[in-house]
Amino acid sequence: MPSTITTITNSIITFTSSSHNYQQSPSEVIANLDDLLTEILIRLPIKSLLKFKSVSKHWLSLISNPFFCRRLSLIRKPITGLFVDRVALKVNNPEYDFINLDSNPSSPPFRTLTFVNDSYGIQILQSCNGLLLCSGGHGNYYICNPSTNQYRILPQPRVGGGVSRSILGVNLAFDPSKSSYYKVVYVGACDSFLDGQLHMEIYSSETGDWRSYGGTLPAPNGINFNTGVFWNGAINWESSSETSLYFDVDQEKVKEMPMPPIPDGWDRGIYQYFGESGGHLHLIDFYGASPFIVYEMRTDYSGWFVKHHVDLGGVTAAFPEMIRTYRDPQDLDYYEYSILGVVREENDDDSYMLLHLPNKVVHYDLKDNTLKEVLDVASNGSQAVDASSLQYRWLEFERVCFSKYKLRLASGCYIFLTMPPTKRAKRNLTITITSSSNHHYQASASVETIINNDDLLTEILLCLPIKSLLKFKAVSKHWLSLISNPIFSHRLRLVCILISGLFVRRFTLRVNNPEYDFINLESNPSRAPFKSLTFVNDSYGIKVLQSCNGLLLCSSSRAYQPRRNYYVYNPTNKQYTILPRLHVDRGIFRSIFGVNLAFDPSKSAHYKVICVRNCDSLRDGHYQIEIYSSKTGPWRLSGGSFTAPSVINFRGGVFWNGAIHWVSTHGSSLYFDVDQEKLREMPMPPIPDEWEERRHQYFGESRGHLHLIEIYGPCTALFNVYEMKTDYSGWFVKYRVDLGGVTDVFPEMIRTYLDPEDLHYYGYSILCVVREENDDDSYLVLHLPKKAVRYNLKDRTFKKLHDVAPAGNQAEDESALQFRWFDAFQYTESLACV
Amino acid sequence: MASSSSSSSCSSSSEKKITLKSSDGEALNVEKNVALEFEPAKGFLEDNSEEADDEAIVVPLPNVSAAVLSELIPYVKQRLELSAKPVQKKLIKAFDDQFTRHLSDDKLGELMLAANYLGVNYLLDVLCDVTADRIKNKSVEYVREFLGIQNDFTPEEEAELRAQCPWAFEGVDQD
Repeated sequence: MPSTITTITNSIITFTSSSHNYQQSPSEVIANLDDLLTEILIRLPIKSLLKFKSVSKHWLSLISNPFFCRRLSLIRKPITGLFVDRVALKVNNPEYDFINLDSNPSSPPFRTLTFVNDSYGIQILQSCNGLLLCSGGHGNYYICNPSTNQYRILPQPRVGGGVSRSILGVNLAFDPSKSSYYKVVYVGACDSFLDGQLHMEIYSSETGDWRSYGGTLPAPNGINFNTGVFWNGAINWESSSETSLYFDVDQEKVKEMPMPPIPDGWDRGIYQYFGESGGHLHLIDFYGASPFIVYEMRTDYSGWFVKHHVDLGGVTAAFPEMIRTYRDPQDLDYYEYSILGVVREENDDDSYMLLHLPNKVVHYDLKDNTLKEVLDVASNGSQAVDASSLQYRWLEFERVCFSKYKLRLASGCYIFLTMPPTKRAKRNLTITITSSSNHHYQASASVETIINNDDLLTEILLCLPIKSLLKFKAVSKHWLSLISNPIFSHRLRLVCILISGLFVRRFTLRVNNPEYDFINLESNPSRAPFKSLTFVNDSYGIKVLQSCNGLLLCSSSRAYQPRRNYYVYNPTNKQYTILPRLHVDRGIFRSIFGVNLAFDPSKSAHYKVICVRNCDSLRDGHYQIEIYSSKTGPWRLSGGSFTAPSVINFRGGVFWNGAIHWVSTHGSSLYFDVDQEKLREMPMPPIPDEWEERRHQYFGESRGHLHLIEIYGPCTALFNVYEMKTDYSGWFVKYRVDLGGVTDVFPEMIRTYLDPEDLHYYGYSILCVVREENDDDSYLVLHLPKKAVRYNLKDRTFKKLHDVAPAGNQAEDESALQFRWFDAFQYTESLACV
Repeated sequence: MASSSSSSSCSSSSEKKITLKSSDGEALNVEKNVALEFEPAKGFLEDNSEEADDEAIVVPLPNVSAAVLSELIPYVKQRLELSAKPVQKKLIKAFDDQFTRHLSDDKLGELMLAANYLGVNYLLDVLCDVTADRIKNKSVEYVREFLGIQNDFTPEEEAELRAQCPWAFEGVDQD
């Protein structure tokens, strides 16, 4: 034992010097000598200390004393055990198996982490000298000491300028022998991650706040920031390339770390274990199932040396079930095992590896290659225990643990990937859920179970229409938090978007602020979300320019272009954002020809706005594209100038297939690939011989299909609905429409005063082509005089949807129409944030 | 491991004897290098260094009984001999084990108090290890009895402490 005993001779001795007839037994005297007692206590395992807190108030105070903890932290305690992450399919909260490595058996300190109520479950990311770094929902990170159940919720890392960066890894640095404070290092990708630029934030428990690491830094390829290991005062990362990085936590400097040489014939390094034990950093390669090399890093980072050569021959002989006989012996997966930990003991002859073999964990002595079984692993359905594991050891009271482990941080969505999305349930209250699946849970007991199980509840909520979700926010605070959760809305976006109605702009001369009729397309009637747009006070009024997957692009209605504001508005949750003003160069405002919104919630929560402007106010027909991105901010030029037919309708852009599409009445039509920022020509159907211009009657998107209707006659009640092929190879006729039946029932749409071959003989307009999941249910929304009609494209049945009040301000023709397709905007409910 | 005084002072004065007087009045003759291992004796000898004849010095050790001293002295003597040689730690550990293995709990306590008072840190280390070993897997009740501690928790307080980490109360050795 090191000379930890300081001078104890000064301690208060309770018996007097001359007399020897003290009444107390020696033990009782010791029990009253704090210094001596402390010397005994410091030698006890943490588990015993936790237990002996309940011996007396005196002991409780001694054991809880910070100075005691500090001294305790200077003593290396052996690893108590290993937490192993179980691959659980059904539960939200990951379950951990516990491999006890202590001679004194005890049950696991926990199976799941429940120190705080996190409805998304708590997952261990890293174990470092007694403390666990954990993650939960809402991007929450926790530091917890599983021995004492103490925890701290870390503040959210700053993500600079409102720009969300993707998280590459979060790591904990804690060395209780040096300081009782810990640091957490967050590594994220910069906005321009294509360049491999990294951004780091450092949290210190001393200051309680995050701080940015100076600037950005470039990173070599192949670094795994998820599995950082704390060793030698630094967070170390392994890499599949020849150099990696480590972050010196005290100096706050990123430095290069070499990796072992990659053998000939391999294009990258492959490692099956990376971890620390007893102050040694270990790395195990994996270029063949066996043998393999256990490397150890030199403390000065000059390189790795071979610590052990391991041949698992003896193990495979003892446990033939680990041989996958159906595979080639050269196959990397020929042996079924994983390395859970390399454990260095004080006496290196006792150092060992923990191997996970099918249904068991074995202790493999690195010196004499002997084996012993330490744990039977219950098989988990069809799956074995995850190869990742956590070493767990008792340390002191604000801390415990230490580890190797693999992290799946992917944006926190992992929680939900565990349940099939077809779960159905029936609730006796207000929710009724219908589904293609026939299962439903009926017993009221199970209803309560479901309602108390966040996972199940989330699955149920995801099946609900957005309207119901908005309503059910009022059920309870818990429901409110579930529904408001960003992860929930992200998942919701992946569920197919359903159209619930059309906004159609009424033509009025007198009012600034345009009014909109709402044509409800849902079976469940609901009120119009708005009649006119007043979400912000714009003295010019606000009009809708485009609807795109739940968001509306709006602008000041009657303002002169340079004064025009542009807005992105979500009519469902009433959120809006004002886009920054477009640039004015040298005092000259270049004309705007069209502004279009590109938003695909199934791919990204961010949207882009594409503006087509004159590239030079003096040259007509020369255009320039500017892009605003909700992710990266201000307007910027995209590509060079281009020419286009002057008749191309840049205002009526349609977003489909990741691109904005514009049609032109003659000459070429164009589309702009928003991701690649490339402008291309779009093929168009042939124009009939006798025509010089196209007669567009409809151009729009529904459920991932781009539709075009051109009507040339001679009978305008007969027309084709074209659909574009996804590879842009051309249009094909999707539906042939004959409105004969409609004209029979609504004869008022026939303008009898015109020649039957006149293009305006039939008074109707097409407002929308709506595709349904089952194509037999797809329909057209038609506007006939004074009404809107739903026309089934398959069986040609139709029904009135909506009465359209006449404009009223003019004594007009009975067959007058108020709207055309460019006046109609799809309304799809969305919880998307703008 | 051993304190620095042990190696430096042993050669010149190993032959000389010092008299130690125990709390119960017995006088014990020890080699001077052994006596120097005891902090109070060392201080006393330094204060009285002008005395020509060491034999005449009687060092009072009023907190240690003759019985305990007579166990301590041979231990310290042998331990000094061991640490004077370049012996392996294992040998010292084996010697310590042998010395402590059969100590009763009472004797252990007496020796610990004596080692504490006399400042024999290497012995105190060993005795603390042994004590910790004897109680680490025992029940709370056993520890209270072992050290004569009054339970001053209310039943509620104690139950609350136990509930904080129930696993720590598992795997208790038989008393």
